[in-house]
Amino acid sequence: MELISLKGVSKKYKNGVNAIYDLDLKIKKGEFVFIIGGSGSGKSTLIKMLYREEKPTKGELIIGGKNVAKLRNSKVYKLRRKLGIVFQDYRLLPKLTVYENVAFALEVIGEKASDIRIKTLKSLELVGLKGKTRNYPDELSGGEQQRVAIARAIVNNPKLLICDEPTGNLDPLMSEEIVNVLDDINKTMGTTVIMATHDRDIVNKFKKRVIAIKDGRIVKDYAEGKYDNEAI
Amino acid sequence: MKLFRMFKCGVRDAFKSVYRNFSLSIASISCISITLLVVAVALVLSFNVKNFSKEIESDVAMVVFLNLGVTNEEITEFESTISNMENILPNWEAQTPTERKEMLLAEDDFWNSVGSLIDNEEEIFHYTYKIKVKDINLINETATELENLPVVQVVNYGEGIVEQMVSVFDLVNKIAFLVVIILVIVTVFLIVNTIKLTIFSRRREISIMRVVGASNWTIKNPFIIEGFVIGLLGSIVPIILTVYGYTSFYNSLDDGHLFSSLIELLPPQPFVFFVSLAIVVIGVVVGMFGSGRAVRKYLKV
Ligand SMILES: Nc1ncnc2c1ncn2[C@@H]1O[C@H](COP(=O)(O)OP(=O)(O)OP(=O)(O)O)[C@@H](O)[C@H]1O
Ligand SMILES: [Mg+2]
Repeated sequence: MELISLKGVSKKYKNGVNAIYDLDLKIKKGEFVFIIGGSGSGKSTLIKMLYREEKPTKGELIIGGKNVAKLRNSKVYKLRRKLGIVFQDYRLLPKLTVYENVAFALEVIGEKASDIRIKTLKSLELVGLKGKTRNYPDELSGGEQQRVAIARAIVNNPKLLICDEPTGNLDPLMSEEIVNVLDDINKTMGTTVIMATHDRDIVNKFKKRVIAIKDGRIVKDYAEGKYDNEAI
Repeated sequence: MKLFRMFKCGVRDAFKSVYRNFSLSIASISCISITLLVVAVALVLSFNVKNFSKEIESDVAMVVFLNLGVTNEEITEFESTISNMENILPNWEAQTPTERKEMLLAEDDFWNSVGSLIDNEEEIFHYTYKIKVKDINLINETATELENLPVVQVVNYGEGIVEQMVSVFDLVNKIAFLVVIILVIVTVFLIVNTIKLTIFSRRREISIMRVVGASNWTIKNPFIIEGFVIGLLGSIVPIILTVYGYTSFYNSLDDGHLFSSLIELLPPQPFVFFVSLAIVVIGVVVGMFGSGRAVRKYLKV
């Protein structure tokens, strides 16, 4: 069953840049997908359209049966509650502890206090940070901070986890660790994972579906992929 | 229950935020306090003026003196004229020269001593009318209009002090209204900027809230509440000044009478509480209006 389906999706920014051009794409429930491509190829634009930070200028973008392209601004938060999003720069709140950073995501959507505790601890355990709940972000390594961000993204049990270069600021060892965590979440919880990256080693090592984008178009779609020179 | 908890958190955050942007918050709060103080003065004046205008209207009458030796036709014509005048109450009273002589003899020593010497009243005493007006503010116009009638010799009304006070207070009220409008604009401007600072200082938090799916209401709520808190804090000083100021002013007067027994101020209870209520409501509304504007401008969804 398809979780995500794009038909003829285009994105033209206000300054006239055509970032995505007539894109067709289907992603099934439970898949793990790498989106690769050179700088400026349109990876982030595609990702942003998935969580409706940007609106497609043309086409149909269906997530879980709903056309996100037509979603009104005031209803976007409903979509976001079903997604987890991870960024390259972690986006943690420096004045909150690890625990509070993760719990924050539940508090602001009005979860019950008792549920918040259970879900937060479970989520932190899943990313292997149960021992650091009281630490502050600046006391953690980059990889650990990114794991906090992942814990926050999955704390509400999303069907879809979207990551835009989550390993972009990390060294190879930490990067592999992070993708291992994502792989784990994908396998144990059945969460669909979409990860934009230009890290060759990671892509080649994990052997997932790879979608290569160039100048806003899909140039390759490997079922069990590799990052080859053709793709860029 | 959930709503209540969120509101409670919102109020706590709002106080924290007021504390964090201390100098700008103080500016906003001072500005709203000054505004509300002017509002309080205007309200006190306006209600008191309304009150004693009403009393004066029933007490102050004009006395119109017709020419000596008017004919009966002239009297009838005059009476029909004043019956048709817009600002004159229909309960005017006429006094014939004979009645007038008797009244004056009864109440005045001078007339008492010379009155008995007078035989032909019509040559000394006027035909007079006691007339009351509907709107005290238009008493001058009405008097002039009457004086312009050929049959009228002179019009006397009041000592002038009461009418002057009414018009002075009326002017003060109008000026106060203008000042309030200007101050409200300045206050809203200051509050918008205070809230803008708060929004900017919490940009990161807001962007994360958006990403994890907080509703627009949840995101905007704390800032609206901050405006509410600014309005609330700003109304404290004006309320204290109104309650104590007006009460002690009233108590320093003789039975609430100002200058003359004609002007009686409203008793402080429950008047000051209505004024205080009005101040809080205006403060909070202005505060929330300011924060609402800031949110609409700087917190686009
Ligand atoms: N907000 C924006 N306004 C205008 N143009 C934009 C905007 N965001 C991106 N672009 C343009 O759209 C194109 C695609 O950008 P995008 O960020 O999607 O690329 P990317 O594949 O994520 O690149 P990178 O690997 O460097 O992150 C680029 O030409 C970029 O300049
Ligand atoms: Mg990018």
